[in-house]
Amino acid sequence: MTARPRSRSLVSLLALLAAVAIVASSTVVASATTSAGPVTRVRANAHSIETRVGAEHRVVAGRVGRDTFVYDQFVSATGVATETGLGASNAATGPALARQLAGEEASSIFTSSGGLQRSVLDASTPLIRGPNLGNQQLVKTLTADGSNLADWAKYTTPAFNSPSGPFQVHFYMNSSTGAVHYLDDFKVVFNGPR
Amino acid sequence: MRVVCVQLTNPNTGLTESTSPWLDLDTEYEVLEVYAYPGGRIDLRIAAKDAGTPALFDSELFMTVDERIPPNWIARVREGGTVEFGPSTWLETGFWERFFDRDSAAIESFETEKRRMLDRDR
Repeated sequence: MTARPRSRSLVSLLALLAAVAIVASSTVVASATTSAGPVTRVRANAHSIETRVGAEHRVVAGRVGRDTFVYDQFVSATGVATETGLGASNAATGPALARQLAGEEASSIFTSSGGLQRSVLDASTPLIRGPNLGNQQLVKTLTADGSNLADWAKYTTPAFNSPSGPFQVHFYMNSSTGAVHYLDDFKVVFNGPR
Repeated sequence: MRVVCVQLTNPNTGLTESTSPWLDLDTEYEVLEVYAYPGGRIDLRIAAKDAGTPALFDSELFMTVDERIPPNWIARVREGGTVEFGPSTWLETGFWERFFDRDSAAIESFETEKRRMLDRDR
């Protein structure tokens, strides 16, 4: 079996994980805690991922220096890369193609450096304004450059499809400067019933 | 309190749009909270059309169609001068962070208080 070049979606995901690796250096980049509830939260220093796929909890964990391990765990958790690279010649590949399309949609929202595409940022909406943020350490970080807390907010992207279901990305952005803070609480949230 | 969406202005680009992933023109929405900031901006928290994400939208996008104040609202002036109207539990510091982190108690509080508002409007 010959090695097949990974799809564009995988390249984007790898870039995202590379960004994690760069930030985290040689330290543990991901650790997971599972609560009694249906959500598994995964923190990866700068990035965290919450996954919920049906009733199944999936955990992303690994160490920098073993990027493929982290990558594989991430892919497994999100299901984004599953079935990519399949052809359309066989009718049985229909569901796989659907998953591939969902995977490509999921990965297309990220830039090559792991951030969010400008168009995705523009389509996002605020959830919590800066003055209402309860995490004072985060507030301190966001305003460390002298920026006005009132210009910051926690945002969510619209929902995007992935093989594991629709998801949104939460992040912090400064509406005055357009700066996005990816180093804290930047996470993918799989949409569950509300 | 209910409002109708009368314009779609993207808060990030400032551009008027014909469609939005969050709101539909000429559609009514229940106002879940009101925030008035010292700088003059006023946000309404509204359950968006996606999956009901309770997000913030500029009050300029709406007009009132039912001006009754929900019975479970309180008013609070936060340090820094933000005036907030909403259910007391929602106005607690950190509530919305817990909610968006899927904290079960926060989600239950959200559903309970939202139901009170919607039931009153029926």
